[in-house]
Amino acid sequence: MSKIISDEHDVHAATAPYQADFPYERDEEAQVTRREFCNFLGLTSAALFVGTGGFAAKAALDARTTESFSAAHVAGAETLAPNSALNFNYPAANDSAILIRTADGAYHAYGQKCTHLSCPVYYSPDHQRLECPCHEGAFDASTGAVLYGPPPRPLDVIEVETREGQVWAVSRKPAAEENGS
Amino acid sequence: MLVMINIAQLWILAATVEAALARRYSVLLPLVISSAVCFAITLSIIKWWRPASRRKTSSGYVRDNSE
Repeated sequence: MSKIISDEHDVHAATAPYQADFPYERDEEAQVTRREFCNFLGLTSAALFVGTGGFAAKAALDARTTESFSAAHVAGAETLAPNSALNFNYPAANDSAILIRTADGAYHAYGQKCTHLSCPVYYSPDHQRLECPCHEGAFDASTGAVLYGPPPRPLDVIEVETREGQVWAVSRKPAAEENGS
Repeated sequence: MLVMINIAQLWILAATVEAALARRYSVLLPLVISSAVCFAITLSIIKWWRPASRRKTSSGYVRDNSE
């Protein structure tokens, strides 16, 4: 019956025959000096600083480049009943979006990812607002602004136009940018 | 102290990510400067801090009771 290595004494006993070939002591390997710990924290601090700078640099770079969008027809929008919504993708096939036709007949479209943790938002006809089921956040159906809950910023706004009776998505931009904040 | 500074830098990084996603570019530079200050303080502590029980000699820091 094989012996189960259960405590430090047994580990030492089990590894003793191999100490000549692998002269490593567990106690010494596990020992971390105060100076080593401080150096580790210093490296962590450097990594966090580099990460912060990198994120800021990338954001500043992205701000200088203007993204161009091509218009896309939103299929099925013409037959959408007031106070209802449909899903579509814009600008890319994997960018989910939601088109809302409010009770007054106006069209509004938003990126479907909640700005909290990217859960898909859905339109609630009863409350006439966009709701996130994950953490109970809600957005205004007409502006995309946060009504309540944990989302920190409004939904991305997709501009829509009606051309010859058809609804077209023409651009997508963050609501914060649109509001000038 | 170093751990507390690390935690503060973690907060600053989180705020930077959130500001970048929200396109609030005006706060990015202050956040980066704050993180840089934290890093400078960390480096200063690591370089100059020594336990009170040590004293400096020509060959480095030694314990007071070692001689």
